Amino acid sequence: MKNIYTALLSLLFITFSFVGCGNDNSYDGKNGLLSSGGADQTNIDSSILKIYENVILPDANASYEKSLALIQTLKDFNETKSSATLASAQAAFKELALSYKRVESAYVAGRESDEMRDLANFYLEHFIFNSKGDTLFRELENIFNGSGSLYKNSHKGITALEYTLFDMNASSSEMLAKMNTIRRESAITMAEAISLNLKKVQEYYLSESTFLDDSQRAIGLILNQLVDNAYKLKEKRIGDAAGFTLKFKDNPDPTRLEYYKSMNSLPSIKEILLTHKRVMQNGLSDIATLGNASSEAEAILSKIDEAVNICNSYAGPLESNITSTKTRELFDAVAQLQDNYTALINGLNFKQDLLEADGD
Amino acid sequence: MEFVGLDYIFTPHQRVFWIYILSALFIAGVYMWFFPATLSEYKNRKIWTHKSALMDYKYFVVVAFIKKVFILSLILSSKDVSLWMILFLQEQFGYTSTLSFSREYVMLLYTLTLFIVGDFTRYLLHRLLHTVPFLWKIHQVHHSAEVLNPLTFYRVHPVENILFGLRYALSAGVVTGVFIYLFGANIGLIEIVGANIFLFVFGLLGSNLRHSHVPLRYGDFFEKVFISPFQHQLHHSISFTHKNFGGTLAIWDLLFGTLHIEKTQTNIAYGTQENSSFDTVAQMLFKPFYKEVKT
Repeated sequence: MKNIYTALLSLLFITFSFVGCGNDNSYDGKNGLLSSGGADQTNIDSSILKIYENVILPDANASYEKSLALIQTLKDFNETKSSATLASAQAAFKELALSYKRVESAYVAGRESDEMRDLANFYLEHFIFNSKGDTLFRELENIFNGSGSLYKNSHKGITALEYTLFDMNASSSEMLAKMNTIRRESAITMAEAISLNLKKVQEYYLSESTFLDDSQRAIGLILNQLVDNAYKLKEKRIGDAAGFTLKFKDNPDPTRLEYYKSMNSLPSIKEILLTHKRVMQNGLSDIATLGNASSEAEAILSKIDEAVNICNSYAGPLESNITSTKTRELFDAVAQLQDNYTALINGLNFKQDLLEADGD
Repeated sequence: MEFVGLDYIFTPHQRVFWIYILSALFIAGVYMWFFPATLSEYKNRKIWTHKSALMDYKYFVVVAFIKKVFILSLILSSKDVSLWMILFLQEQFGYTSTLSFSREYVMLLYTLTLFIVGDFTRYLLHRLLHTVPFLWKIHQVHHSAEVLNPLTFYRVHPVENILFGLRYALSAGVVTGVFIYLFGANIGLIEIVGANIFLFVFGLLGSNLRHSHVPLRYGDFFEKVFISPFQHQLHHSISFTHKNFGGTLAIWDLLFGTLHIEKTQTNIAYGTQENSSFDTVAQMLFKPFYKEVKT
């Protein structure tokens, strides 16, 4: 029996020796923001307002404007049928796609409303939810050759429009030749559907969103969105194509990239990361500081910069560099970014209770 | 002020927060109105000026300083435990998109879970303090009180403070980690004036009477669910020291066979069967180790 007690005590002291006493591991007795409504509420409110006014709303407005511009270029192309107007339409599409990445990265609307979540997942884009399967592309080919019709929501989203306007394996003249009347008119229909949905997003943020009503809830919404977006960036937009995920382990294939056909994948990844940075710099870092989690915020910003620098260091498009060692570095950096967001959520939630150090 | 514990009076999660003291005084006043024998006991036994009570006051100041300067910086943070827990769950079960329950529902569930798990781990550690011989020597510092007053709550050896701090870090850290894994940032505590609502209600309902000579009971049925002040006073009595380990809930004692319910009585003999007594603060701090070496 005595041995058991000795062992128990030894275990106890060994535990204490690992408890540590550095600043990061210390018991500071301070409240966390997610747990406490008492911290500097005015500053939290103004930080949330900054995220809304400087990131969420302008990005929603901009993507809607880009969609209108895209419709116009597609109509011009439908009239002129020239390679110059096709190139303009393709450029307008890339701008819209990048603009939409900004909206998608901080898309708190989908966390506030089921309807808005479905709008993003099933109407606007289908990369994550439908895995950009061949089925969609087969159906689109049938539509373009006159044996099918444009009736599904997936036929009218950004993923479908990219397929309609691009083929990285075709020259511009070959692409122009593929753009028959049905294909050109389908592209306009798709762009109009996208635009209509982006207008709904814009209107939602302007008149229905409750993001500004409750700052504590808003912190939760934006953080959950960012951590989820970082996870999808790592797994779906990089890992699946590079063969780093369990599903596609050691089987890299660039066609799994989000914008393989338009070779817009790396710019879109960079745009997502830069949106994260804007959210941090426009309020979330301030909130982290108020919640005694500034070191976690700094770690996030540092990791975003690291990932952006990796994106900038690619010699060519990701589509032709998927097996580069840089892709592994990018994947690891984004994985760490996701963990850093988790650490920030945890840091903001930290609530220590001095009572609990006393006995009874 | 904070180094000698005076800040506790203004800290909502401290047992001696002024609102809890006032509510205890009010409840005690009403009780004494109906049962004057309690008031007589206070007079006859000189509860507030008893040498045991004077030790409580001195010890409170010294230990508040020790805790602030030496212990609090050593205790493992629940923040580190919860982060470790989240990353562990993500590694074992993969990332999961946060469950979309309403924030209010998640807050209620989180607050309740923290409270229940916290209370259960308190019961376990408290019972361990009574059953492991070395820990019992440490815990006797608390049980050596011959009279009870709200500051007796803080008559706890620093080693016990460390153990309770570690217990909190582990239990709150694991619960928080699981909740963040499942619900992400959508969590929060339901609080009143900065304290967990359950602890606030517990404080308001007279938690300070646990260490008092006001034998307030909840009745036979409710004393199987909640530990009444009188049940905790029985726990401090020489006769029933190893019963009623519960903090707020009595269900743990009921489940594990350590519950004791007794009719109200006054003039209970408090202390330990070992008759452990401490004449100085230094003895309270060092005697448990000294005696351990000698035996």
